Amino acid sequence: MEREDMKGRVTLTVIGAATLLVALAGATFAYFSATSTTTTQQVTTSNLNLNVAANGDATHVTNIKPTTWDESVMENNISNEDVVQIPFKVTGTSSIDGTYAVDLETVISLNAGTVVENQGGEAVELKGGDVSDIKYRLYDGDEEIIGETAFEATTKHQILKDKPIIANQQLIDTYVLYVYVKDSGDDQNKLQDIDFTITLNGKATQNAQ
Amino acid sequence: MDRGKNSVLLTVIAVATLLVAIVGASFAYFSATGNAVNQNVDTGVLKISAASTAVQESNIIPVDADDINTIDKKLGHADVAKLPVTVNTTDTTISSEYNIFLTTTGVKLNAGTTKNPLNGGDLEQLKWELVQITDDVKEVKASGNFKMAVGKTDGNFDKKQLNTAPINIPEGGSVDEYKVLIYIENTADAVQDQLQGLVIGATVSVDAKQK
Repeated sequence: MEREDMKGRVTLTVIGAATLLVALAGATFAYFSATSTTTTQQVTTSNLNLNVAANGDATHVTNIKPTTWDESVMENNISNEDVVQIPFKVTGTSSIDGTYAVDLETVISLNAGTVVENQGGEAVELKGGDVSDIKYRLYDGDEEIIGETAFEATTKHQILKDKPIIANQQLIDTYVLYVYVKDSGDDQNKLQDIDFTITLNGKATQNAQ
Repeated sequence: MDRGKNSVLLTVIAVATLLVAIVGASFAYFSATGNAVNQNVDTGVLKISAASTAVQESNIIPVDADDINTIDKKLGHADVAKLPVTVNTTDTTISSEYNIFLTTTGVKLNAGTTKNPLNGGDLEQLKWELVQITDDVKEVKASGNFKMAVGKTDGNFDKKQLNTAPINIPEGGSVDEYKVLIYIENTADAVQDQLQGLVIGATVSVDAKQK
C-alpha cells in the first residue's frame, strides 16, 4: 500500500512541474516600460513692429516754384500751392518697450541744362539756384519739431529720434513734412524742371534691459 | 500431511480474505489530497508621470551672455523662458531609469512681411538647457540650440532626447524637478529680427524602462 501511495505522489509532482514549465515557456519576455507626456506649453519671443506710411495723399507735389514761408500764419503755408505737404504716420504694435527713429533721404540734382525756353519761347539761361534753396520743416500737429532745414545733394537726415514705443499699445503717430523752394530773391533757375524722391525710413529699437 | 493441509487451508483463507477485501472495496480511481501551498507572486511596478506648468517668463528678447553666465542668473532672468517639469516615479518599485524628450512647434525664422521684411538672426542663437533642481542644488543636465538640420526648414524638435545619460529611478521611486530653459543669445551689434514674434509650443515627455 505504502509503495503504491508514493508512486501516486510522484506522478502528481511530475504533472505539477510540467504544468508550471508550460506556463513559463508561454510568456513573452518583454521588459517593463512606461511613458508619460506633459501638456504643451508656450514660449513666445518679443515682437517689435514699426511701419512708416503715407497718411493720406501728399499735396502740391508738382510744378512748384520758389516761395516764402509765412512764419506768422500757418494757414497761409498750408494753402500755399508751392509748399509741398507730405503727411505720414508711424504705426505699429509691439510687445516690448522701445523707441523709433525716422530718417529722411533724397538725392537732388540741379538742372544740368544751360538754357531753357520760357513760355514766350525765349531762351533763358539757367543760372542761379542751389540744392540748399530747397527746404523742409517737420510738424507734429500744430507743433513745429524741426524748423527750416536745407536739403543737400545727397541728404540723409534723422528727422525723428527716440520716439517712444510702449509695449502692447497701438502706436499711431502722425506728422507732416513741408517742402518748398525758398525764394532767395535771386535767380534760382537751376532748380527749374527737376524732380526728386523723398524717402522716409523708420527704425525701431528695443529698450536696453 | 496436516502441514500441507493447513497450508492449503491458510492459503485458501488468505486468498478468500484477499478476495473479500478486494470485493468489499469501492472501485474508485486512485486519488489523494494534500495541503495546498498558497504563495503570492507580485510583479514589480514601473510607473512614471511627467507634468508641466505654464512657462515662466515669456515675450523674451535676446540676452547678453554675461547676464546669464551662471545658473542662478539664468533662472532669475526675465528673458529666459522657464518651463517647469515634474517627473514622478514614486509608485515605482523596481530599479529602472528614464529619459527626457522635448518636442516643439513654431521654431522657424520669421521672414516678416513683403512690406516689412525681417532680417538677421539664426536659430543657432535660440538656446535650450535642461536644469535639474534638487532642494537648493541646481545642475545643468544638458544644453544645446535649435539650429536647423541640413535639409530642414525649421528647428523644431521631434521628441529629441535632452539628457545625455539615462536618469536613475531608485527602488521606491522619486520626484524629480526640472526646468527647461529657452533663451535667445544676443549677438552684439547684429540684428536678430527673424527671431521676433515666435510662438514656440514645447511638450516634454519621458520614457522609463526597467534596468
